[in-house]
Amino acid sequence: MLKKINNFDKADAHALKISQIEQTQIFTPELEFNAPARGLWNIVHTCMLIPQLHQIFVCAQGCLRGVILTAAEMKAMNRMSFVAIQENDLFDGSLEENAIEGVTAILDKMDAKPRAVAVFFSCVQLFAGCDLAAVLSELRCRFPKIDFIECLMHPTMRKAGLTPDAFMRKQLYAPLRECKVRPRSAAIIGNDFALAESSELFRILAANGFSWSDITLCRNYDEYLDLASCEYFISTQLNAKAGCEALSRRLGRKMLYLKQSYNFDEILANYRMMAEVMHLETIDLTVDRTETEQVLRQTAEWLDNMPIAIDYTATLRNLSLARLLLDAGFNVQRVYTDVITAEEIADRDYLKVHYPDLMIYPTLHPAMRFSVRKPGSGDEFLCIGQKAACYTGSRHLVNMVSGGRWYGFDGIRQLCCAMRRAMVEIVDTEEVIQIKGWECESCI
Amino acid sequence: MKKIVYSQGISCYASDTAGVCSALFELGGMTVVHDASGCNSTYATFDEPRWYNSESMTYISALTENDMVCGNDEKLIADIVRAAEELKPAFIMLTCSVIPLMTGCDLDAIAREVENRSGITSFAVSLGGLKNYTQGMNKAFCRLAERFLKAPDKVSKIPRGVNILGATPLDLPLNGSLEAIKEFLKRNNFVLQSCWAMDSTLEELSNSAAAEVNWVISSGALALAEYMFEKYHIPFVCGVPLGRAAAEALRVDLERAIAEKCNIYSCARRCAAAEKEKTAAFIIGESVFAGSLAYTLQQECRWNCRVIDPLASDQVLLGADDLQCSTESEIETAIADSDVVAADNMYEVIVPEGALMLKIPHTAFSGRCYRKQQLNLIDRKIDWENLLCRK
Repeated sequence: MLKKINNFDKADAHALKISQIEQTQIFTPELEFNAPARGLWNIVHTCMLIPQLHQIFVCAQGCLRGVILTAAEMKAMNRMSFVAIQENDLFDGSLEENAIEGVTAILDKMDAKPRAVAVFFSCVQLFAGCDLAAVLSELRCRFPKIDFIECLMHPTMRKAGLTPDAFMRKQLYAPLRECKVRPRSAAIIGNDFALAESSELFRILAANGFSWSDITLCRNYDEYLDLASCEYFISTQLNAKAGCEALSRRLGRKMLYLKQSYNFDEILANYRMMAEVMHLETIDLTVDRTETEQVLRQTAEWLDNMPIAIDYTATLRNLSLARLLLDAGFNVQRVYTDVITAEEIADRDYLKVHYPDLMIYPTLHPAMRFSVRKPGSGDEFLCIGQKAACYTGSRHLVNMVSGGRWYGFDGIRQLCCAMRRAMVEIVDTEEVIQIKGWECESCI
Repeated sequence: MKKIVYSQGISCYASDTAGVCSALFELGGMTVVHDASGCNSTYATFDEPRWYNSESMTYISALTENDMVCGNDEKLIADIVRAAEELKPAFIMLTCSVIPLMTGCDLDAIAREVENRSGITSFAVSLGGLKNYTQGMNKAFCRLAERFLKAPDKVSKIPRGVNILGATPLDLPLNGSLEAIKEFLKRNNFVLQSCWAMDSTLEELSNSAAAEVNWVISSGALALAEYMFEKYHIPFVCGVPLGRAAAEALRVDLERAIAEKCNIYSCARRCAAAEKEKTAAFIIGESVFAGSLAYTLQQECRWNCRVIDPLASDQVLLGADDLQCSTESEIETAIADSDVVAADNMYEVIVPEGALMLKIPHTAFSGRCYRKQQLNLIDRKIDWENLLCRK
């Protein structure tokens, strides 16, 4: 029989002060709880960014259901098919044949063939030694006009090599082929959402006569293929870095990793590197910096010491963000994250010294089941991120996932605006955070 | 030639692991799915509408490649025991995805080891995420019954006592349907002993032998009914009281099962006269529900109804002319000449042009896509024609 959620102590007992944290793996991996916050994109959402592409998953039923219904909820079932692996397939040596014949049958039934097909294999084919290359080679022979992309849904490999998410962002550009370079052009690689054009990043590019492209802005497959003609490839997200590197290497282009950051010095270092690599005129960002400092000060005053909770789904630079806000006088009390990425180690060390009482909460620990609060029960918090809202019970939510669309000094100013809005607005968090794929279309 | 299961436009049903988790969700136990990190999101997002507002302990083991290849069962055991010591579940259920199944992970042995170390009743179901949710439910309910059911001599028999078997949100929308089922019992002077497994405590379930009859409302609980019949001679009736006709038939069947101590598959009953009717209707879905709906539609609309069972149910739940199909193309072929198709909304893409459709959202198929449109069809007068829509 269901019981009312009321046990606060179990989860709080596992939180740590940042001064206690030495390792990057903050909380020991063990059984995991799945918080009902669904805004982060998964491989289905990301792969759908390729226009005129069809996805075909070849997996066991239990694995298929999640991806099929992800597509259904985003109203994209017309771009999704599957081949189900049966128990006997595991032992009779037919994994390759089933994948080939299953995909063939699906494509044969289509009146209009897709320009590209992403064929997703899963952990089970990797464990069984399925010859994925042979499967794709045969499919390419049978359907020479279709670009087949090898994709993986292999979460058991989450802690070895590229994560499934990073691998997806690498394969997302696999069909791009060598072509003539378009001078003074750049492509943003591996982001889920188009960055806001109000960012100084684009002002700088425009001022130097650069055009830019982005998979999120491509309207058809040809525009997508044309990304290959860009002179420079830029990634801003950690999970897109490997893919951007691989693409740049393959096509012989220069790449820049302009990491997302909430640290003024890091932001300026990004732009200095950009100027150097892309041979841009020196850029004066003094006004941007001053204006951002001012907005931060005003927002901190406006919030009047309101407690703030941040989580890793809002941004992988959650400690960088906490540091920025604490230095600006905000009352950041909690960060919900299970690990510290390599990019955040300096921020952790800074926070340990300057804000040793900042509390770090797990998100996956089994006891977190008892920390999902009734919406409205923790309205004293302002939350940046869906899991923070879920675990504090606050309805004051900056509904931001993976950094949102915001970047650089402009991004910080936009975030401040959103925080001021969130302070006065009440959101139906139970409804909002359960929608899959932030800003994707949804049928629920 | 080997049959390849593929689909171009429809969903697949919730898997056995979801069935296990859903069956045990409300009972105060801890269910651990031995699978990779993040894989519990499918169940928690699409299959479990109770997820947000509960404290049910359903977890994933966060299985990694290294642990699987190296056979690191000790980590799984230690993680479960540590969590159980802190959270004090009433029991521990282990189930797994395809990878542990393929590598021969012995979940039964692990469950025994967990029980030895924690002192908490533990058991396992290993179907590997390759089967349908109904099979997971059946196994989970049976494991639970084997360990927790009290023998009839330990409980007092309740005259006209009924256990409802197979209630989960996978089949039963959270829209008053369960309450309507209970009201149906009350109105007909039956006494609810327990409900496997919604709105009942583990203690109430353990006293199930006090009932005079088991009422199976999903094929996901047929094995439990058979177990209780074999072990405690409690007869069972299979059906869902949809509309008026099936509800009345079920009332009679429950009375008869108690009186004659016989099992009755109400959902397999068809009206012979309806076979001559012109309107060819197919009902696609879970067999106990679909069969009950077929009977009601035959009686109330005079349609010639046949069930298409995509879940490989036991044949005893089906009528003589019903079909079992496991692929989208088989179903598409079967319904090619139909006049009416009653099914989950997601089947619409394979319903023939011109046919009418009775859309009945089914969580086990379309997850939460149509949750706001779910219908309560239990024990009430329904204007079926009014619910039809043309494709």
